[in-house]
Order: sequence, then structure tokens, then C-alpha cells
Amino acid sequence: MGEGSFRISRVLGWATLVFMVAGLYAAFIYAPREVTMGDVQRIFYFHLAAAWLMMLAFGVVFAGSILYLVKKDRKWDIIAAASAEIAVVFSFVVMTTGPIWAKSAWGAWWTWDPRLTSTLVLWIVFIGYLMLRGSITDRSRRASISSVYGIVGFVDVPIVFMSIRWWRTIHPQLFNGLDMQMAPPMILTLMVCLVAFSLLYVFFLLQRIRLETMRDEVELLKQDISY
Amino acid sequence: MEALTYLFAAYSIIFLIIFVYAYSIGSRQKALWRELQSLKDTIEEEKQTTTAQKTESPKSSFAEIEG
Amino acid sequence: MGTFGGPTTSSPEQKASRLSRSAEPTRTRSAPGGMSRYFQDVGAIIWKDVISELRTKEMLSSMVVFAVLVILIFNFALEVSGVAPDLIVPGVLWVAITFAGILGLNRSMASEKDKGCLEGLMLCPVDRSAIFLGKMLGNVIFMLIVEVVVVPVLSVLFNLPILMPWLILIVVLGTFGFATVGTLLSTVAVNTRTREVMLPVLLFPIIVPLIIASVKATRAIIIGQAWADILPWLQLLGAFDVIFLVVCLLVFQFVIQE
Repeated sequence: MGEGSFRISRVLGWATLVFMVAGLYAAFIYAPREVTMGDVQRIFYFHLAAAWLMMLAFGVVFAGSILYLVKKDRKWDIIAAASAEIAVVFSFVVMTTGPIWAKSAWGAWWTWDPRLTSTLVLWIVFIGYLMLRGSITDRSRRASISSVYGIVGFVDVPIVFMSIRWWRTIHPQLFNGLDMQMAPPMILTLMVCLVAFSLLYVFFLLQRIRLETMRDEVELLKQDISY
Repeated sequence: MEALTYLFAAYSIIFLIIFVYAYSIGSRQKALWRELQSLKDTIEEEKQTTTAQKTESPKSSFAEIEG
Repeated sequence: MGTFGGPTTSSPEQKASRLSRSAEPTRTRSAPGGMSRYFQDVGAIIWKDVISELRTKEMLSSMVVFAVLVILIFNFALEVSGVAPDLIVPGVLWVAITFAGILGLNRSMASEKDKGCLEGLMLCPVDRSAIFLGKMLGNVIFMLIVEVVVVPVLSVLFNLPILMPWLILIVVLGTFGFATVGTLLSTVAVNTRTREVMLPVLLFPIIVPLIIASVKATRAIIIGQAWADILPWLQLLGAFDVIFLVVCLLVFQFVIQE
């Protein structure tokens, strides 16, 4: 890691912090109180931003996996691995804030709603992905095999979503979360939060990639010594 | 009032997770950095001992394997 | 599958040598006559698995016993007597199929790996996707054999006539999709340190849509719902099968490469 990338990540860190604070301010003070749901609706801004980060991160895992299989460049595997971990962490954020919002607004922690359920399935798939990575020792084999699972897991997502939506139509639809009227200040608040979480994602991704390259370096040095 | 409790809980969880994750990346990086430094030191020592033809180097555990 | 019309008494070794001989002249599928060679290779791999299983019958018998045990356990766990059987039978059927399938997949891939058969297969001048198709169709055959036993047993134990022509279609489609993803992921799992534990962890979340569609379609058939209610689930099953067959054929080569 050079001096330049260190500076970039520092600038990025500060930018993330600024946007996070701005997002908090906007979500709590600037955005008007939602008429039907009240203050609880303020969870929505960070919840949706975290969900956006999660989808972005899963998309990067998918792209990184395909690029690794095509180009066989270790760089792409590192990016996929880093992104998968971040995605799993933020799916956890999504899946804790979601039920809190649901509980206060609709009185139930969990409903087998398509969005919730597919997020849960996606989360489990990528926990499996991380476990898979953990249990293969050989580096290049780990890279290509986990790429395969990354692709299969991502392809599964739309099918899971469709199947659960059809499955749910038989049961009464409890709520439709995103059917709310958004005033312009609310949209602006949401935008600030989306930018904040996108920056946070890039920041975490760079740090996580740095971690992985350091790990590679350590492995390499260890091999040097043992020979 | 109850709504505010939920709101507070949600946001504390979000930031708790973010900070815990940031901390975990940081500490893993730090541990790896230390390991990297000690490995580099060992390699340096190895080089010195081999160039100086010394047979004993008590600080390096890898020297025993070499000997 | 009509390609192996030879003497049925020939040993797997003979078959394997035929496999390598038949595949030698054409490596690519696009060559003239390449397509029939390709399917000959696939047939030979299926035949190899079927022959070696028929010798010991270890895997099939354990799968059948396990599936019946699952049904038994569910009978006690759910206290079936009071409930309408059509509510639970579809679920029990698919749980039994899934669990027995996991057992078979683990077994079939682990023995390939341990006996070094996978390396042997890779040395054969056969297209990698032919290896996948062969293993996958072999697994489909074994699972169908198990289902031929399990479905009547279930029908008798729960006093529910479920042997219907449309049910066969659903079971075949579901088994096909399960074996497709299962074969790929069991090849993935044998490469890990934890092996047998890894397969269900990787496979179950992926087949969620397949299980939903199969259970829903089975239930719709049993209670005699209108065709319009069954069709979407059949479409979903078909879509799952086709999508994952394509994906698995594309990526399988990356799992088995050395």
C-alpha cells in the first residue's frame, strides 16, 4: 500500500464522516415528520441506505467473481471476498433495523414478506460463501471455487424473490413498506444518506482490500522463510 | 414516546455495528502489520547471521530449523 | 441413453475404456458427429455410476432407509393424526427427498474424490460439461429410484392417494433442479476441509425457491386445485431447472480444475 492510497482512504474517511453527520442531521431534524407513521419513519432513511449498500456490495461480489473466472487475476478475488464480508455485515444492519421499524409501525417483528425473506436467504447464502472461503486452504482453488458459489448465490436472488412473492400472494399482504408519500426534503435526506453509505462502502472496501493484501504479504514472507 | 425508543434503538444498532466492524478491520490490520514487521525482522536477522557465518541466533525461532 | 447397447455384463472398467476410446477422436462438440459422441460420453459416465452402485447398493439402500426414517420422525414430531394430511404430506415428502438427496450427493462425490475417480475422469478427453451432465443425471436416477419407494410409502402411511401423473412431473422437475445445483455444490463441498457439513450449508439456501415451488405444486395437485393455480409453480420449477442447468454447465469447469 503506497502513500497515495493511504491519503485517499484518509480523505475518504473524513468525507464519509461528514456525510454521515449530515445524514443524521437530515434524518432527525431537517426531514419533516411523516404524517401516518410519525417519528419511527425516520429509521427508513438509514435502513434504506444500508439496504442499498448491501445490494451494491452483493453486486460487486457477483461482478468480482465473474471477472476472476474470466481473467484469473487475484485482485478480483480479493475484491469479491472483501465486498462479501461488508455485504454480510450490512445485511445484518438491514435485518435488525427492518424488524424494529416493522414492530413499531405494524406491530410485528417479522413477516414473511418477499423483501425481508429474500434478504434473509441472501444473508445466509453469503454467510455460506464466507464459510466456504474459510474452509479451503489452497489460494487459487479457494478463489475459483468461491467465485463459482458467488455467481450461483447471486443468480438465485431474483428467483428467491419471485418465488416468495408468489408464495405470499396466498396469505394476506401485511404491509407494503415503500408506499409512502415522499416530500422533497425527505427525498433530499434520503439522497444524503445514500451518498454517505456509498462512501462508507468504498471506505470499508479499501480497508478490507488492504487487510487482504497484507495477509498475502505475510503468507509470502512465511513461505520465503520456510524455504 | 414508544416510537422514539424504537428510533433510538435502531440508530444505536446501526452505529454500533458500523463501529464494531470498523474496529474489527482495524485490529486485524494492526495484528497483520505486527506480524509483517516481525517477519521482516526475522528475515533481516537471517541475512545478518548467514553473512556473518554465525551459527547461533537466540532471538530467531526459525534459525533452529535452519541449523 | 440408447447408446450403450452392449452386453450388460461388461464391467465398469470396460465401460471406462470404451469411454476414453470413443471420446478420443473429437474433443470439441461442434465437430461433425460431435454431438452424438458428447452424449455417448455422458451416457458412459452415468453407466459407470449405475454399475458401481448396483454392485454394492450401499448408497441407494441408505438413502431409502433414511428417507423412510425422515417420514417416520415427522409423523411423531408433527402429531399427524388430528391434522388434515394434505397440509403436511407435501412438506414431509420434500423434506424426505431433500435429506435423502443430500446423503446421496455427499456419498457420490466423496467416493469419486477418495478413489481418485475425479482425476481419472478429468484425464479423459471428455468435455468438462459432459462430466457434469453425467454425474448430474446419475444423481437424478438414484434420487428417482428412492422416490419410487418413498412416494408409495408416504401414501400408505398417511392414507392419502398421492400417486397421480402430474405429481410425477413435479417430482421429476424438482429432482432435476435439486440434482443440478446439488451436483455442482457437492463438487464444491468435497474441495473443502469440512466436506459433508458444507454441502447442506451451501445447498439449502440456494434451493429455497425450488422447495417452495415443489411443495406448493404438490399440495395443489393433492387437493385438486385448478390448473391455473398449479401452472405458475410448474413454470417456476422449469425456470429454476433451466437457469441453473445453464449456470452450472458454464461454471463447473472452474470447480474441478487442478
